[in-house]
Amino acid sequence: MANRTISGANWVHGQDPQHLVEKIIRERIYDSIYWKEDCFGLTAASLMDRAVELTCLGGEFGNHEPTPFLCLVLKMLQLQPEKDIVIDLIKQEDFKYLRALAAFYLRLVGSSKEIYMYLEPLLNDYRKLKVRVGAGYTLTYMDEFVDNLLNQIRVCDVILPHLLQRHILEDNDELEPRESALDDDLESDQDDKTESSPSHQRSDD
Amino acid sequence: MSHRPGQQRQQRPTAQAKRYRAGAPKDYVSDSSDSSEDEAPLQQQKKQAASSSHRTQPASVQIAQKDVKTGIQQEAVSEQVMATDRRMQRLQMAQQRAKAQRKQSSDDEEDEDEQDDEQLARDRQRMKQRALQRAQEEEMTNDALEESEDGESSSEYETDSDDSEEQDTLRSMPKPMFIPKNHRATVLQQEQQKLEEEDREKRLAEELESQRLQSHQLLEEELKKEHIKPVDLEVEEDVDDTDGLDEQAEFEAWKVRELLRIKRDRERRIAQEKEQEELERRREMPEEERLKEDMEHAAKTREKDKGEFTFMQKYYHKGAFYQDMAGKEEIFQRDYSAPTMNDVRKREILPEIMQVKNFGLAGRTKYTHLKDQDTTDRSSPWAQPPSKRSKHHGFSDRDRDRDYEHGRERDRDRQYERERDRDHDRHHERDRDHHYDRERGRDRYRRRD
Repeated sequence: MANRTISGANWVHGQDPQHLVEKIIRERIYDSIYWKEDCFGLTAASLMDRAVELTCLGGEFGNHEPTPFLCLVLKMLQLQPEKDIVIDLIKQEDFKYLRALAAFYLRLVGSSKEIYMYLEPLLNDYRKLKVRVGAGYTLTYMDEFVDNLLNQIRVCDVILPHLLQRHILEDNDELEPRESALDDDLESDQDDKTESSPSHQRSDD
Repeated sequence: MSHRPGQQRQQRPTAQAKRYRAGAPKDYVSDSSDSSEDEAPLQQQKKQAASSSHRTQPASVQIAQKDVKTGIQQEAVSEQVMATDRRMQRLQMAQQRAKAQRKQSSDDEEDEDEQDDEQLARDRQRMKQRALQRAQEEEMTNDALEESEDGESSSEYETDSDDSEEQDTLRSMPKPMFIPKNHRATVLQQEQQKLEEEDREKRLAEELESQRLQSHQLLEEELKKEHIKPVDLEVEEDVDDTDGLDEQAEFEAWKVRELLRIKRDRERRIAQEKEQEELERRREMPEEERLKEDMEHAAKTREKDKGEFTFMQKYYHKGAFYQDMAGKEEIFQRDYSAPTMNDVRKREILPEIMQVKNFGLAGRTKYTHLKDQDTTDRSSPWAQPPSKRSKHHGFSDRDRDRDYEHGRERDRDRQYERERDRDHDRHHERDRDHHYDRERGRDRYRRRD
């Protein structure tokens, strides 16, 4: 009973939101102590309290033990908070792990356009993040993490849903081509070196 | 009915029921008696004397004079009840008997102290006489009381008779000494038991207490453990995720990453654009050009490096996985077509049997190579290429001329034949079926009629 998605939840990508996490991993999360102790009876508000206490990212570590991060991801999928809440959590800058959690959740449930729209600003955030892997920890950065979300297939032991390629959205005029913060620097460098050559930074339509 | 001191002898009740008594019968003489025949007349005389003397006494039951404080209310017993109640009568009888015995035994008590054999024998005699007397008296009283009594008296009579016996045995026993309550063994035992019980209870209580204390302590420890957060023995301290340690360095690192990302995105975009261009171009091309391009592309792909395998070298398949790593890692770039240590370099010097792959292993097959399996008979007409000459049957000059025209082709055919023979010769001696007569068993199953 406690592991069912709340009633009235929208189906994501054509399936139960919790099914975005693979069955085996989902079962391991249900059996984990963190899930049973801390994730019982959470609401959207109390979930944020837990998320604030996060200290690392990660999927499964050691002998197939899920991290609290992953448990909270599943909890969010179960509770299905509003899109507005999620976007607010992404925009807030105080708690980086909460931000990462919200970004991960959006990548799972959001549409391609939303994902590009809200996750690309995070590429400018270069804060350090701890990732729990295997026997210990490694270090990564927020922008690296978000880059993985946008380009990799599998992050934190969760297979990410298909993301449309950016150029398709650009062709459909739904998105503007990406403007990085360093584009200006690059442009200036490029212009200095080779004035005649066509600059490839400007995207063609 | 115990032997109560200080009581007077009472008159026996008048009538008694005839019952079987476990006591001595009328003429009973025990085996231990020395002179049984002599006693009998003596006893009879004594009985008669006793019976005559006892009849005259009045019937009165002596009731205890002392004020014994019991819980039971003591009622005064009326004379009428005294006379009629059988139990009262029996009590009278018993008391009278006891009195008589006491008188008689007062003399004997002195004798008991110095117990010679003769005195013992005399005592025994006297006891027997008295028993006989009593039996006679009881008979008489039984007759008197027969009418008025019910059937519940047997036990009491037995007790009476037992009493009489008891009183005799009592005399042979040591004199009963009164032991005050403090010294009584039974009471002492009881007290000891009580003490033990108390001790046990005390011990139980103490144990419970100690257990409670232990459980309390355990609970304390558990709570303490819960409060103390588990010390992470992992490498958490090594990986530090605090920001702002070195702003500049972090910023620079980010910059590098971001530039790499931009570069990657750009390259992707360029590749996509190129593909688009190619697509456009092909669509614009006419059919023949497209075909030509496709053929060139096919020829190019066919030119793949098969690898240089020696003759009859064991084939090694590269494997279908790790194709994405195939170009990147050094280990995938190696030449896997080179012969290994197992491959024989000079196969010809080996005996023919050993000139096979997998020699000696269970997976060994007789198969060598494809050309070896070829069994075409080159000399037969089928095997020869259709020459232009034989295409047209018949003899005509036109054909001759035509043939002459294609003389070069004929030479070419001949060359082809020569080449063919060369191939054929190379492996012919290895033909394993060389000595096999294929025709041998052909007619074996044909009916020879």
